[in-house]
Amino acid sequence: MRFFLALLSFVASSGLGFLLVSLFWPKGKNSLPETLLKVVTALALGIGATATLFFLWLVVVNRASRGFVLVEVVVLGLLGFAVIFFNRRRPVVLQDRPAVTRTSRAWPILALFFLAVSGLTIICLILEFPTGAWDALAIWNIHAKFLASSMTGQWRGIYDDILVHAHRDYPFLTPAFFAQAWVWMGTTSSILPPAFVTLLFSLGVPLLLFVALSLFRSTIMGVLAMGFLLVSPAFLASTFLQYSDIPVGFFFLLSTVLLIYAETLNGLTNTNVQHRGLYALAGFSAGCAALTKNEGLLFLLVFVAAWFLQVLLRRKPRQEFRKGLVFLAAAGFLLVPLGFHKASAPTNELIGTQNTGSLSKIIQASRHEAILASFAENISDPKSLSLMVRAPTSRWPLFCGLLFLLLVGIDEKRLRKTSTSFVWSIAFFLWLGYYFIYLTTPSDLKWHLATSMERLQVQTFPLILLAIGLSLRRIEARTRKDTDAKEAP
Amino acid sequence: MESVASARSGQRSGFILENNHDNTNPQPSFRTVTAWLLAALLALAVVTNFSRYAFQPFSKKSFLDSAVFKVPPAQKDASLLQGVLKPYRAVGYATDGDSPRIVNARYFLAPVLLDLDYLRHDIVLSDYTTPAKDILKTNPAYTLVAEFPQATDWARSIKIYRKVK
Repeated sequence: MRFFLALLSFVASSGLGFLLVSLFWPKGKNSLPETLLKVVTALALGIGATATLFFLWLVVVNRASRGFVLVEVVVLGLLGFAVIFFNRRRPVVLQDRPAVTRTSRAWPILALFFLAVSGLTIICLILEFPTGAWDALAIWNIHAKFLASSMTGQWRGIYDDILVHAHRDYPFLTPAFFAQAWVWMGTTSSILPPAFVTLLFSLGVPLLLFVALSLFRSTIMGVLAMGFLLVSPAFLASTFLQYSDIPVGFFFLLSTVLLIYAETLNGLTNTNVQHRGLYALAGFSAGCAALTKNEGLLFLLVFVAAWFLQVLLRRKPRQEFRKGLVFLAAAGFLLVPLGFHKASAPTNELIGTQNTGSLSKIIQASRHEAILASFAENISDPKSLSLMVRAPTSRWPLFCGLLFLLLVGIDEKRLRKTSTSFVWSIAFFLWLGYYFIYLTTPSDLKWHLATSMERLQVQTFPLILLAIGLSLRRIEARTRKDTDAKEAP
Repeated sequence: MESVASARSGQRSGFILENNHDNTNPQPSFRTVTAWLLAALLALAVVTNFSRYAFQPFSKKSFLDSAVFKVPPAQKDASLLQGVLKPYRAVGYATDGDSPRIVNARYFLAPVLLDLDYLRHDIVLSDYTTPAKDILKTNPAYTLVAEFPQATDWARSIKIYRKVK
């Protein structure tokens, strides 16, 4: 029965996501990668919307109860009505769609093989570590247990001084989602919600990467990037820990992909219709990133800065202003409950303990050296997986990947494209932010690097793979026409 | 050869990427062969990971017998204690345990807050792994409320005391 109720809660959250996406997605026929992008977006934004709704319910009603189920059903009904009402009035814009490069059928089959086998591996790892690792117990899932409490005001326990170790300022997306699933189930002992979310995002990130590169480049590029991500020991280690690094990395990738997709469709459209709905979905996604981890807030700033930079460099700012406004309004919708949460929680220790002494840390060469050394070490030899599973990890795929990059090479023309430079600039600015935080951290730098560097790399790894995929020279076979065109004077 | 869509997009947006509508008669290049080789190696790595990390748990237990569907003993112990602690928002927590033990107890007993400054509270959870160390046992200011001999996991050594007024 509880399993069935858990399933129902996931169905309700997915329904919320699908209705949201239906409301904002451009009307018209979609290709398979576009449909997959729509599905992945709906599932993830459904989780974000449900968690936000549940948090707002707690703020208003002051305790978790099954009344929330009724609220969720009402919101589903209202959204369903809005979808029917607005979609009837929305015109179908006839336009070219991004055409997917045709490749051998073996490539999509290989993608399915990668996902299926890695999915089984991840399921087994989740079963082996059903309660996750340290931070899952000490931070994320303990927050969820408070949020799921049926006693009046008890959910505010997450802000109590007693839980000083539990990083009380950490955002609430994953804990609130687990808590609402527990409310549906009538128990807080089930590990089904964390296990489900872990699996969903762990498979969602490689799938999204595959879909994005299939849409923007080619299926081959999508399969290679997805395979490379799935065999990475650092990524595999993060799949079963029940931390929020993979979900936040997913939202980094989703926001970026949705913005590029929106710009691509706008580039292809035959009319002046701008697909503002996609900018709203990108904004929701960036808001979800901020609701998942504090790094998500940094991402939101970086994302806007990178976009602004592109606009300044290549476009007329006035044309882009409305799109930016839609994006910010959607993100802001989720930032309001986050603001309430942050106001109730103590200031983050990395920010709260900054003083003039922090500036002197910036000029210490030893700190720069330690950060760069840790960065390189965690790329070449991530340790979490071997420590947790007590089995060796393979490093040879990394070297194979590097050799592949050297053999294929970077295409300078592609590197200069707005989409490619946009993704690279997000990754660069994010790491600049992380670097600055490490430089000025009030904690022991060695400890801070040892406990977080690998996870930060996991957060940005999908983005970097997307950037690499967009920058590489063409690897799919050329058509005879292509060759003729090239050879023509 | 660039498609019409791609050419149009090039004029209007720098964001558009690849569009190959016509891919008939493809000619494999050196880079395509390299991609196939890398894909084969990645497939090998995926299978290696499966055999390394997944094969062991599968051989040990059946999927339906897994921890996801069972109530673990630690959770059963938590239910025992929650029966007594349910009316309270926060209780004192006297322990000689290390940090993982404290986090564990706090996680399983949440949403009850376990306060290490136990003198502030009328109800105290005593969690000493060595019974001789239990400072509340001989303290006349406290009276034993409950102990849990039926516990099978982390709550075996736990006792609950009330401050005598």
